[in-house]
Amino acid sequence: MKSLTRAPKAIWILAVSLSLIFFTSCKKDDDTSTPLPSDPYPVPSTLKLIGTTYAQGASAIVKLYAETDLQTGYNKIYVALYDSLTQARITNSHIGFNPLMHMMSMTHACPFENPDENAVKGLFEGAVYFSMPSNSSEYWTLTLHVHNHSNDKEGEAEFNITVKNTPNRIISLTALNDSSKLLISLVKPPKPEVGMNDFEIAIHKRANMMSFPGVDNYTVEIEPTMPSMGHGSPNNVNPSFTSDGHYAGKVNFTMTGLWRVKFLIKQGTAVVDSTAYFDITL
Amino acid sequence: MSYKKIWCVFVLKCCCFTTALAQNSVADSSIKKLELNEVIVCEHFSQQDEVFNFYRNNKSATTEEILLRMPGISLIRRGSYGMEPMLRGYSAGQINLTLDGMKIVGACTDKMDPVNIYVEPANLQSLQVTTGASGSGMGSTLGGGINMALKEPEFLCNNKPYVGFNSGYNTVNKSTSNSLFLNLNNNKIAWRISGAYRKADDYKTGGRVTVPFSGYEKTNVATSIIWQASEKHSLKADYLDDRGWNIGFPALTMDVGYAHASIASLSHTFQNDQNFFRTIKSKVYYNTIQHSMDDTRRPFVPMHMDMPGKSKTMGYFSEFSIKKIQKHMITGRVDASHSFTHAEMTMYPINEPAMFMLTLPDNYRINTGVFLKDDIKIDSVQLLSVSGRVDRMLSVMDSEFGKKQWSVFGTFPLQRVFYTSNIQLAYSRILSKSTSLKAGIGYAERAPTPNELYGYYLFNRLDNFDYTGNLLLKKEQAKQGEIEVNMVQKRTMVQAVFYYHHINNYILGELNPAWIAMTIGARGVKSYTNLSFARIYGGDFTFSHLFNKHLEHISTAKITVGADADGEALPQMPPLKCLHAFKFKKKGWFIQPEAEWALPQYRNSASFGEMETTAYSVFNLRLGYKFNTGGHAVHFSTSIENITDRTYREHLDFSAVTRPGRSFIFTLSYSFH
Repeated sequence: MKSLTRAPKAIWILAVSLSLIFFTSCKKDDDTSTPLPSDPYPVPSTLKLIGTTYAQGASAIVKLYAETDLQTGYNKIYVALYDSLTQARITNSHIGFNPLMHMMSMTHACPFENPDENAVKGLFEGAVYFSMPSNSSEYWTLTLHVHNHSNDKEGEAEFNITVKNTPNRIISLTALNDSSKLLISLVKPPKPEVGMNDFEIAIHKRANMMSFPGVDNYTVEIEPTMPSMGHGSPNNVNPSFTSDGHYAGKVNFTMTGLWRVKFLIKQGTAVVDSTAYFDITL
Repeated sequence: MSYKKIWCVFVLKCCCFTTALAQNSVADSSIKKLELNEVIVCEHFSQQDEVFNFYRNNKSATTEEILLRMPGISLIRRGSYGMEPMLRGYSAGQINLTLDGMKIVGACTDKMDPVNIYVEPANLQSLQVTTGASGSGMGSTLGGGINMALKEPEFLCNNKPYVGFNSGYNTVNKSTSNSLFLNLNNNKIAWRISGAYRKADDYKTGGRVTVPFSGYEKTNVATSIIWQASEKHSLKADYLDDRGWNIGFPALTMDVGYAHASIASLSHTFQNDQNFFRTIKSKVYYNTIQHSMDDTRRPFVPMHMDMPGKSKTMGYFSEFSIKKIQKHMITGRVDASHSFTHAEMTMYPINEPAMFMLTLPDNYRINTGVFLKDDIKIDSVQLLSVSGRVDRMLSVMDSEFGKKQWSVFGTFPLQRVFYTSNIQLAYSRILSKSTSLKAGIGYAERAPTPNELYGYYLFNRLDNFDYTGNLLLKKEQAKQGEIEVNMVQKRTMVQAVFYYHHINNYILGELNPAWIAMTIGARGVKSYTNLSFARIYGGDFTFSHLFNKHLEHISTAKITVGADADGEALPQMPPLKCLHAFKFKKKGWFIQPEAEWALPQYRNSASFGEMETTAYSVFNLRLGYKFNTGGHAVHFSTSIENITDRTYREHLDFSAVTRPGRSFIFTLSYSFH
């Protein structure tokens, strides 16, 4: 994708978007939740609105959507931008995420993936990996740096957001020998079920409190087990590196109940970490 | 033949075993029967019938105890109840276990409910045992079939009510067994109802050691009504309801919490000797079984679990016989059935969510088949019997959850169609006045069972492995040869049967070392696979002798040897086992000493973790008295089984659980008509 030049890419995206709109509008026509009838990119009703605010300086209204309530671990974030004067959709903009956890004595960030500057179906899609839930005294903010390419203006929009704890333990933070930390997050499947599941994780290294780059040169082995039974499952495929700290494989769950997916992370032959795990209840 | 006539023959002949023996010609003994009406124990004479009659005198015997003594039959024992029949080394899906020709599918994935447990001797008329491909009358089979014919209402000559009860007590497990029956009829309608109740505590093995979790409790009610609409047509409705509770399986890790079978059928019989179709007997049937394994009574379970299962079968069949065309006696059967099975497991860990899986995902199979048999009487001494059967079996996994579960193994065809054929050619010849010979060759095929296709981590206590099905299994195919020699002198009968089967694609579990067992304590995972071939061979022998009109003797011996392509022993093959019995009868009294012994089994399947079984011998003594007066018949009997209080187990017994020690059994039966 990155090797494509902008013009053909835009045409391609437009074509795909149009065909998608055509396709979905054939299926049902109640897919709109946006008030503007002239909006060419209605936001799917399956998405949940997290907040709306004004990006000062960029002349843009920013609407933030997610697939569910924001929760610990991997969250897909969808951004819809509107021109604050004309209400027209902005489909080309640079958006930079800046998630910040405000604790009693300190602040820290968490890993994120910024959206592409070209919106798909009117939405800029990125991701944030919240490393902890918010509570009454500690809260998350998500600041978006918006560079509106249509008017070349820049500004920032800040959201106060609530991050819930997931019932499943699908992030794993472990300290490494070099005083850095490794954050492993479940990307896929969003809803694990009995049977064969696509299994995708993202591995980020905490360089400092504000920087969490993805790590690309690990090898990952997984072992799903049921802790109360001591058994595992057959035919799992170890996740292998795809891009940007993401690793994809397959995980098999043979029955419902609590499953623990244990990780063995290696760099070459050296073991980086063997303590990380997810707990997933089916 | 009308029902009335049969009954009169029955009454007449059952009293006198001697007459039956003398009357039957050598040729009859080699004819295996399939027509249900004609099976009444004394009508024809065969090895099975003789043994069946001899031992059925013990009125408190369970169906299993009668089966145990039949030639060719062994029982796989997991507990004191619910033993699974094995026919010449074949079991489960390799044999047809039918009830009045009806297909019934056990609902237990651990084979704790073979169909024979749903029948009580109180409503059992006869057992029809067919072996090898000749058993394909009821369905495609490798090993043959055991059909349990249920008692029918009787058209008694005097139209009076016929009632009776039977009551028994066994000291070894403080068990009581009680049964009642009532038969009412007029010239057109006959109705019979019978009920049985059994309750047993844990039994004591040799040395008075209690075997925990070996008790059981069950009831059985069966009713049947016949309407003899005309000379040619009769209609019959049957219903059987069998319930069991807390049936202990000491050799397994779980017991049966409850088992409930409902078996219903409607039959029509047409009979006209002038017609092209001399008889047509048709039946539609429906049966359900609910079965629940349970471990709540067991101490020290690592984790409590429930394993319920159910099965539903509906089917139809028509059996017919065609008017004799020259030398040909043609009989046949068309049948169709739809059977559904489902089994699941839920485990309850402490402080964690319940764990659930479908151990046998919902699946159904539709089976249609045609069977034809031609008995050609070449001349007065030669009989050629040709039979064949073709089947289509569609097997479908019908559960979304099951499909998801199976995706962990990869992508497989979840729907399979099997076409199977069974062909049998048997030639009998009377060699001399006293000797006859029968030689048979056969080819048999059978489709894999739902367990073998769809089973999902089914624990097998025998080798301590979890078993998974294999959706790529091929059908089992067997080439079979059999030779039977009969010698009948005036007072002596000897029958010897030798058989040799070469089975291609023999289905057996194979270790899958990469997979991890699900069951706590299991040694690993095995998947069903087709061995290139296996061989099963052996013999059945019966000897009987009438010393005089008071004293008779019967001895049976059976042995089966099984080996795979590498010559390694197949699991669960019984060693030589012999039964000897004398019966002395005089003026209503009888006394019957019995000896039962088996050789040790050194030919064990190493990959199955089978252990050697030592030889044993046990002795039983039965004593009885019966008298008839003015329509009242009273029969009292007492038995001492395992007189020497021997601690022993048979090779087919699961685990190291030994058999009951010395037992005293008392039975009293009474009937009036």
